[in-house]
Amino acid sequence: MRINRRNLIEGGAALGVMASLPRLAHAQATFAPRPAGWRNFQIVTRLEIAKPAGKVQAWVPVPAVNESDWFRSGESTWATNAKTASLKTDAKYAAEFVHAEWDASEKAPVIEVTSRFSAQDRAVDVTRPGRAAPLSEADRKLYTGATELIPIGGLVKQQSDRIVAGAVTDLQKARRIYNWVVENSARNPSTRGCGIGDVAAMLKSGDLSGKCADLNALYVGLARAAGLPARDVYGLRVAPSRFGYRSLGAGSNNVTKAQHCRAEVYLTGLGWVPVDPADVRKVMLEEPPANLSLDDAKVVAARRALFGSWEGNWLAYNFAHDVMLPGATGEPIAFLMYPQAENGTERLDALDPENFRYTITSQELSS
Amino acid sequence: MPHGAAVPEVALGEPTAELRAWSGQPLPGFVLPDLTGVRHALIDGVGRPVLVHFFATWCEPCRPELQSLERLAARAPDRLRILAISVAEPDGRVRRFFEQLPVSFPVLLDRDRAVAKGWGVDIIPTSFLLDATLNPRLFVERDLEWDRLDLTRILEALSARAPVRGVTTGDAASMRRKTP
Repeated sequence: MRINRRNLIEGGAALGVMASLPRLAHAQATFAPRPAGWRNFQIVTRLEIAKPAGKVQAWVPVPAVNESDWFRSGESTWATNAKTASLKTDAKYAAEFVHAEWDASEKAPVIEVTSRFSAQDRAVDVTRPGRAAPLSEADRKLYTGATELIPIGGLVKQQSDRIVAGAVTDLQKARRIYNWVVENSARNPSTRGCGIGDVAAMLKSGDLSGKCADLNALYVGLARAAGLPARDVYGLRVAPSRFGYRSLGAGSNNVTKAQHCRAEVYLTGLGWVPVDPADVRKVMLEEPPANLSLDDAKVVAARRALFGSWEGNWLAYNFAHDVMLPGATGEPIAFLMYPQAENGTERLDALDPENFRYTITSQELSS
Repeated sequence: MPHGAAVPEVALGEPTAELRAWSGQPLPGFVLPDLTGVRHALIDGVGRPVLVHFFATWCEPCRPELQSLERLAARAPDRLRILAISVAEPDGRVRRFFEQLPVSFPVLLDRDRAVAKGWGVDIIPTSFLLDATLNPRLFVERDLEWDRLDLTRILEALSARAPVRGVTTGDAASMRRKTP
């Protein structure tokens, strides 16, 4: 083959263009959720107990968040061979779940819960003053208080004070904490489920790696320690991202392991502002070609958006911590994002759906 | 939070990480079930030094540490009692974990964290060494290669009347909190 110098130059130029394409694509990365219409979804949670050993109980979370601009919980129905099954509400946070009970004589306990909801992208313009309703005193107290795993004193307070030192406004404080979590935490792909959310242990050990229940709980704890109302929102990814971020959406209709919790911080005038530093770290770890740096355009776009907005491809179950499961023999759970069950007196492992056993499937409905 | 101001008196040799002298109050006793439902009381072990180890299955460094504890147990089956305490995890998860990683010492279930809280455990893993009268003498808030410690000197130190000196070496495994 003869090599023509002109072709070589052109070929080289073409190669140069090709080589620059990924960078070009990154440079054009867009992640900008904006309210653009409601989407309707249905999820089906099917739970079976393969080897019942005495009385069996299950608690299946259902959507219980209603926020006029981004999430509407719909009806939940169920089919089951349980002796009793009813919708119950957590008194403190108003989380909802279907509680089913089977007699010891039932050989194959099963329940299938169908929940409908509507969601849309959400965006709060934090650059302009807003007219959001003030937070009630009860909610302010609830969402600035400590939980079992999110203390707001000690190391959490000390770290929070260091982060917000010199910040004047609540918005500045909220953003500083967001940036600190983004820049100092890491997503650990081997963390089971969404993590534990033991904020004090994270700060004491210096190990700020984990997943959403760790990283976003860290945000919530630091914000609360700074006096800002903040809360975790426990949920489930139900559809792919419309912005092409594979890491920020469900990969298929099987969403059994697609749990994801986000966070909100309350800012006077703006109301509840969505924040999700954990997803920024997820983008960094998982978006192709993986292990992106903070200055990668995809990361920059996600980081910019995830303080003030998020995408409506996600179900919000509740804001609950330290949930007492009625009738349970086991302990309260740190948060209610996975189906729970007890086989006899033994609490099943919610992070092991294959052995538990449960599946969750999602479907987008036509309007 | 454990109290760790060291009062140097008796050195322990060359551990692979940091053991710190306990300077707090005596720790509360406990009675906890194991994976078969048998209940174990701390006080049952009076007369023999005890190693109380708090762990979780999601804690990545806990796995090799439990294996090192098993090797340590094999070296001193009659001289040191080892109690591993699972903190706030479902029984089934712990059971499956030890099906893959069998150990000879009791694995107890602190389902509601009550014992971990009572002992001021902030970090998983955390371990305590108690003397034969069940007084805490040393503790460590990180993973440790227990079978690399000089067991004889530790046992001597735990039986000595003098306070025990905490030891630090440079070859410490990093303090880690989690991962499954």
